[in-house]
Formats: sequence, structure tokens, C-alpha cells
Amino acid sequence: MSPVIALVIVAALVAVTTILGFVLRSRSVRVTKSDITALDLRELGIPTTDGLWSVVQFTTVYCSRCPAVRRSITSALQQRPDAVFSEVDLTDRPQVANQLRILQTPTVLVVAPDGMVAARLAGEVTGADVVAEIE
Amino acid sequence: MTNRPVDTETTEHSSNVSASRAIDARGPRFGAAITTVLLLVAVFLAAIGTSPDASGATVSERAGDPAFVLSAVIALLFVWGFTVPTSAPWAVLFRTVVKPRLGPTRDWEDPRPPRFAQFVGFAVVTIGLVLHLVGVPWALVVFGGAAFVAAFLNAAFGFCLGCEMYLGLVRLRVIRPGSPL
Repeated sequence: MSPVIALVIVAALVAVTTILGFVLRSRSVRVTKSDITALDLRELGIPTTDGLWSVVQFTTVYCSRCPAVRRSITSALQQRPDAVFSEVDLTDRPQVANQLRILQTPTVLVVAPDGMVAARLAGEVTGADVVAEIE
Repeated sequence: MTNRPVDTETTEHSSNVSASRAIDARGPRFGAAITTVLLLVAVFLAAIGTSPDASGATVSERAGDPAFVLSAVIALLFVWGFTVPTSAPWAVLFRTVVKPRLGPTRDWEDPRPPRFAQFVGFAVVTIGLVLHLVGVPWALVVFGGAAFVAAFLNAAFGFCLGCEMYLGLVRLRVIRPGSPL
């Protein structure tokens, strides 16, 4: 292959990756109405929270963005005495990831006091995103 | 509201990142930047070398291709990066030359995500090396390009593709939970 065409390929690779980077950055938080309606907190090892909202963040030890997301959520939840934060490490529990269809970390579930999942957030979630889902 | 089990100030250095293990997050990103440049050169060399017509070249021609040699060096650097990360060349360069010129970091991170990313980078580049060696056309270009995408996203956007993929890889049974680190 001629060096000119090779240079074009390399330049295209850089350009496409740059665009991909900006796309990933701009839509880094996805909020979906969860198709998993009820979540058994006790099964996940989370103490039941009578009458309180539960914010559950799923992480793995390889998740580089999770610590910052946790800090943002716990700090925002200080204004919400009706919500409790907990974290579930899925590194060694792929069966839980399978059950809940979690492919990406962090994934945050906002669980209503009745145990129903109100929202599922994935990506670079902020505390404000979470609070917005607590009705 | 203060008696809830929500820790704030202490979280930074307690639950997931113990203070003794946390590393300066700028270090892995510096390494990713150098890796990005090396991978880009490797993709260019692969495109002008034997890779596009790998089936028409002999094994020794394929193994002697500069792109193959450079990709093999990159793969070995990845191995170094996930086995003894503290002594890996870019980490040492960062500690001795770059870090003293920067201010103190406010961005500490767990060393395991970047280590895992090094492992994923090694796996991707190695698949390209093996396929190239057995004569699969474009393998060095495609897998070198894939590794470039991951390294570039890490260096320029702080986005760790390998880390994001962990649960997906476990679910597809590409890796076993807890492995490799």
C-alpha cells in the first residue's frame, strides 16, 4: 500500500476516534425506565430500608469512574434524608450482573420505598441525576 | 440526616481506594498517551507493510515486518504494565521526569482499573500478532487500530474502554470473574 493511502487511513482513524470520544462524553449518562421492576435488596446484601428510597450503585474493582460517581451521589444525598446509598461490587458476582442485565459500570438503580425500581442510570452519573429520579 | 450510613469526606481514601494503594491518576494517562503514539505508528507501518497482503508473504517476511516487531514490543510493554506496573517504563518516566514538574494531584485512583486495561490492550494486540503470523490479511492493521482507539480514548478523554468492558467480557465468558489480576 502506498504511504499516502496509509497516512489517510491513520488520519481517518484519529478523526473517527476523536468523534467517538466526544459522542461518549456527551451522552455519558443514560437514564432508562428499568424493565426490571422489583429489586430484592436483601438478596444483594443490602439492609432493608423501611420507608426510605434506596440508591444502589453497581461497581467492579476495574471501574475507573465509579469512585467519583459514588462521591457525587453520597454528597448529593446528604440533602435527602429519605434516601440511603449502597454499593454492590459485581467483580466476583457475574450472576447478579446477568440477572439485572448490567453490562456497564457504574450502573445505578433508584429503588422506591416499595421495592420497585424507579430508574436505572448508567455511565457518568451525578448526584443531581439521581436526586432528579427520587420523587 | 447525619446518622445515615452515607460517608462523604472519608469515602475518598477509605472504602474502595485505600490510601496506601491509590496512585496518581495522571500516571496511567501519561502512559496511554505514549502508547497511543506507538500504536498509531504501528498501524501506519502495518498498512504499508506485509499486513494488507499477509497471505502472499512468507512467515519470515511477516515476522520481520517492522509493524510486527513494533506491535510485539508494544505487547511486551502491556505485559510489563499489568505484571509489575510500578517498574514499567512509562510509569518510571512519569515518576522521575514528568511528575516533579507537575503540581500535586487531586486525582487519586485505584491501580486495578488501569492494570486491567493493560491486560485488555495486551490481549487485543496479541490476537493481531498471532493472526498476522498465520497469514490473515489486515489483522495487524485492524487489531492495532482497535488498541489505538482504546488508548486514545483513555489518554484524551479519560475514558477507560477496557474497564467499561469488564462485565461484558465476563458475561461473554471471554474472561473469568476475578481474573486476571
